[in-house]
Amino acid sequence: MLASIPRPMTTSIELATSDPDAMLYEHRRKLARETRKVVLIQLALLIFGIGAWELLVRFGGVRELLVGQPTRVADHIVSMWKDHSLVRHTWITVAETLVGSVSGFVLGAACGLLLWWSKPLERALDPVMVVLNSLPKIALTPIFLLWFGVGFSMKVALILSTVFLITFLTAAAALATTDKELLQLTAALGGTRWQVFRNVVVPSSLPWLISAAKLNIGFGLTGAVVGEFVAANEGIGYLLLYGAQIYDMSLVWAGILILVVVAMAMYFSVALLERWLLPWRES
Amino acid sequence: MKQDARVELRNVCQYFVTKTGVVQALGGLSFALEDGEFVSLVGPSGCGKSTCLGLISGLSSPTSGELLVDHVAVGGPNRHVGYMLQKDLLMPWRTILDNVSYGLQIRRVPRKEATARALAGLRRYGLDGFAHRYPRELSGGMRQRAALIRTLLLEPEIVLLDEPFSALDFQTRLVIEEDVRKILSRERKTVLLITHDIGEAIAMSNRVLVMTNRPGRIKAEFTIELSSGHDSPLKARESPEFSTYFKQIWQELDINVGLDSATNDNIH
Repeated sequence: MLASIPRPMTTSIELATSDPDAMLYEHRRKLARETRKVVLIQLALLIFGIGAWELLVRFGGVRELLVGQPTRVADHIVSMWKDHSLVRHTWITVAETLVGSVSGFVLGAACGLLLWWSKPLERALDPVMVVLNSLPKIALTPIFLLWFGVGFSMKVALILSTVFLITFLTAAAALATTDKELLQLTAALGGTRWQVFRNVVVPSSLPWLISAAKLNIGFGLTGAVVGEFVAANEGIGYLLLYGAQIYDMSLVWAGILILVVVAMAMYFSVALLERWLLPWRES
Repeated sequence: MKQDARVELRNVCQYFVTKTGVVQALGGLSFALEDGEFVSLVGPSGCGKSTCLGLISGLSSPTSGELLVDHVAVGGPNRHVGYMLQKDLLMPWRTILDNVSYGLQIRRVPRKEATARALAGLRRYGLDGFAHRYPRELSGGMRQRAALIRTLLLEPEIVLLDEPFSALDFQTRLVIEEDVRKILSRERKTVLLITHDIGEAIAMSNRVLVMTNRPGRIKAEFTIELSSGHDSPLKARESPEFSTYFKQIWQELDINVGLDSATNDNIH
C-alpha cells in the first residue's frame, strides 16, 4: 500500500538563484509575460470577431441591411464626429443621465438613511417598499410624459424615479446591517443620536450605497434611452431608433458603441470615487 | 453600605421581554467591587454575566434592586466606567489612530488634542507603528490591544471586561492577559472581568465570584491568594495553589460533563 504512494520529487525544483531580489524580479517578469499574453489573446479575439463579421457581410452573403458592417459603423462614427452630431447626441444623453442619477441618488440615500431616525416610519413604509421594489419603473413613463412633456425634464424624471427608488431601498436595507454593538459602544461612551448616526450608521452604509451607485449607471442609461425612444429629436436613444427606422443597422451599432463607451466611463468614475471614499476596503 | 466600594449591587433583579415570554436574567445579584480590586465573574453561559455588565455601564437599568457606582445610583452611561468586549469593535473604516481616539471624539475633546493623546497612548503601549493602518491589517491580539487603548484613553477608574480574550488563540491570549493585567494594576484601576475560563479568572484576579444558572446570583466567592502574587498571570498559572482553586471553582460551577446534554449545551 505504502509503496504505491508517489514520493515527493524534492530534487526537481531548482531555483536559478537564491538572491531574494533576483527571485522577486524573476517572479514579476513571469507575471508581466502572462499579462502580455492575456492582452494578446483578447486583441486576437476582438480582431477575429470583427474581421469575421466584415468578411461575412462582404463575401459570405450575409445582408448588411440586417446585421450592419464594421467598416460602415466606423464611417458613421467619423462622419458624426466631423459634423459635431456625435458630441451633441452623446452630450444630451449623458446630461440626462447625470442630472437624473445624481439627484436621484442623493435624494434616495438621504431619505433611506433618514428612516434610521424613526422605527415606526420604517415599518410603516415596509409594504410600500416591497411593492415599489417589484414594480418595473419603466412602466411609469406615460405618466411622466403627461406631466413633463417630451423634453429634457421627462427623461430626468424617468431616471430620477428609478435611481431614487433603488438607492432608497438599498439605504433602507443597509441600515439593518449596522453593527448593533458599535451602536452600543457609542451609546456607552455617551454619544448623542446624531453622533451615532454620523460616526456609525453613515459610514457602515456607504459601501452599500456605492454598490447602488454602480447599479444605477445601468438603470440611469436605460431610463435615458427609453425616454428618448418615446419622444426625442436628439440623444443616443433617438439615434438608435432613427437608425432602425431608416434600416441603417450600422448606425444602430454606432449608437450602441457610443453607449458602451459612456457606460464604461461612468463605471470607472464611480470606481474611482469608491477608492477615494472607501480606502479601507480591500480591493 | 460598604465604605470603599466603587461599585455595589444590592439584590439586583433583571427581566427581559422576548418573543416567547419574559425571562429573568438576574435573580437577586449582590456584590461589591472595592477600589483597585481585580474581580472575576465566572458562571455558565447565559447566566446573566453580560447583563450585569450592561447594568454597571449604564446601558440598561435593573428591574429591581439597587446599583451604585461611587455610592450614586446608576442612571445612564458614566464617564468613570469603561468597557471592553470580546469583539474589539474597531471600525473598519477608521485607521487605528482614529479608532483609538474615537471615545475622546465622542466626548468632544478637540480634534488636535484627541489625536495627540491617542498617539501618546499608541506609543505607550507599543502600537505607534500602526497608527495609520486599518484594523484589517492588524492581528487579533494587536486589535484587542488597540481596543484597550481606546478604553484607557478615557481614563476610566472602573474597567469592565466582557470576555475580551476569548476570541484570541491561546498563545496570544496569555500574552495579552499579561499585558492587560500589568497595565491595569499599574494604573490602579478597579476591574470586573467576565469570563467562562476558570484558569483566566484565577490567574488574573484578587477575587473570583461564581454565578448560578439563570436567573443569576452569586453562588460562591473565592479570595485568590497565590504565592507568586498577582502581577503576572503567566506565573500565577504555575503557582501551587492554582490547581486547588481550579478544582474548587470547577465544583462550584457544577458542570455535569456528558451526564446531561441540556446543561452541557450551556457550557462553552
